[in-house]
Amino acid sequence: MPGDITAEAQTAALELAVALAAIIFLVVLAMAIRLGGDPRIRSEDEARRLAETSLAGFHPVEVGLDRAGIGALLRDGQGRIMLIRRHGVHFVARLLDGHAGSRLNQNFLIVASGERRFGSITLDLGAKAQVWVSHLRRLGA
Amino acid sequence: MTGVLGPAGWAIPVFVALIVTEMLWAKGNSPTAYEPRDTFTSLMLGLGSLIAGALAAGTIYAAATWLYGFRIATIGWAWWAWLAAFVLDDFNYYWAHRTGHRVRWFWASHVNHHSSQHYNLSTALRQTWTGFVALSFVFRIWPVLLGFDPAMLIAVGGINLVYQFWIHTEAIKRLPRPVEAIFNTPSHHRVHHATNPAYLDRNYAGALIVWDRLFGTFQPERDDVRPNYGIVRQLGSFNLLWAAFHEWWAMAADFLRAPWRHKLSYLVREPGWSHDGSRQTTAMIRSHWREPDEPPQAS
Repeated sequence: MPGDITAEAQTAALELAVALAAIIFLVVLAMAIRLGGDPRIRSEDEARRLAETSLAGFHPVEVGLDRAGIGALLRDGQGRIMLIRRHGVHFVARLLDGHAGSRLNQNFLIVASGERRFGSITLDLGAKAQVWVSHLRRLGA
Repeated sequence: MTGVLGPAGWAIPVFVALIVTEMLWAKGNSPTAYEPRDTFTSLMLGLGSLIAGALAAGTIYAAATWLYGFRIATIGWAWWAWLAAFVLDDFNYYWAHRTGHRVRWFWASHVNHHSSQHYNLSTALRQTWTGFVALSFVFRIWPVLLGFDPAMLIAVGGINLVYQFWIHTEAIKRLPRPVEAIFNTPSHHRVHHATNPAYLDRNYAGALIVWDRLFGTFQPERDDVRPNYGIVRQLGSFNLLWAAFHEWWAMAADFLRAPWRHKLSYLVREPGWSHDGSRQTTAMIRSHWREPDEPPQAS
């Protein structure tokens, strides 16, 4: 019956609206009571631990840590380079497979992961930025 | 709420109240237990899953009813039938879930439940949109052939799903030993959501942990190994659509790129498998990470 279908559609729309309102309420509550955080990598050791946790068998021999601790580059004995960046209150890592999209601007190195949704990050590596550009170039384009 | 959201709609007010309670606990104890963007993604995945489930329910019920016509007995609605249906459905859940982690086709559907790096009650609602497409339901409907009524199976499946909500929390440490011995608990399920090598691919239970103990996949939570949550290759995005479909996308890309003789393997082998060995499976990760004093692991 058309009337029944209309009533069911209205009920469904109401249910979805209530569920959506509940979701918005919970997210706003999480923001209001300041859940979350501003994580930083506080040391090279912490960066190493994050890298080893992210990829089995990756043992860093060199660390380039952003001065603010928002990310890091790490190189292992096989010449592989890992990029670590923040994601919410956690960190995520990717092995880089080339230097395409990476640029140097004085002490700042813009590193592109090559993965659209992972994006790129600008790292303040200080004087080490030049060294890391060289490492990245060895990966090829 | 029994329209588009089905019986699960009734549980929503309880879910909301418990999430609020856990958030208030987190405020005082562990502010990083929640991240608003992650919470939004998880809850929207939950809402989408309810809609997808409602759309598929009619087809699944029709399939179960059709199969019911070939039953070998008629079990009826006695109290013991409910109990038997629940235990059998939980057994089926164990194998469906285990397959969901060990076969990439099913993993593509299940992965979004694991792709948050958080472990809280909102993670519980982070459910698949593509379970029907993956045909995961075939693991659960066969007991109608024994004579269990399709409606009873759907009801106990719903109870199982609701049971699993409360175990997605860090607020509860460990429960009394008899409970931990029989039931899936927050401690057991934290292990399941962890990416630590000692914890990978363990504790597939729904409501009863006895299946893991029986089939060699049980791993107790260790005081010296704090769980790192998420997936081996963390998603790194809060994008809702990417969270829902990323593994389907990746699997399709692998399938298209692979040599012909390896194409099927990218659908049916374990996640992380690659024909050139360039990626890591659970077994490879374990071999890299095994600690000298780590106890032997079940395979």
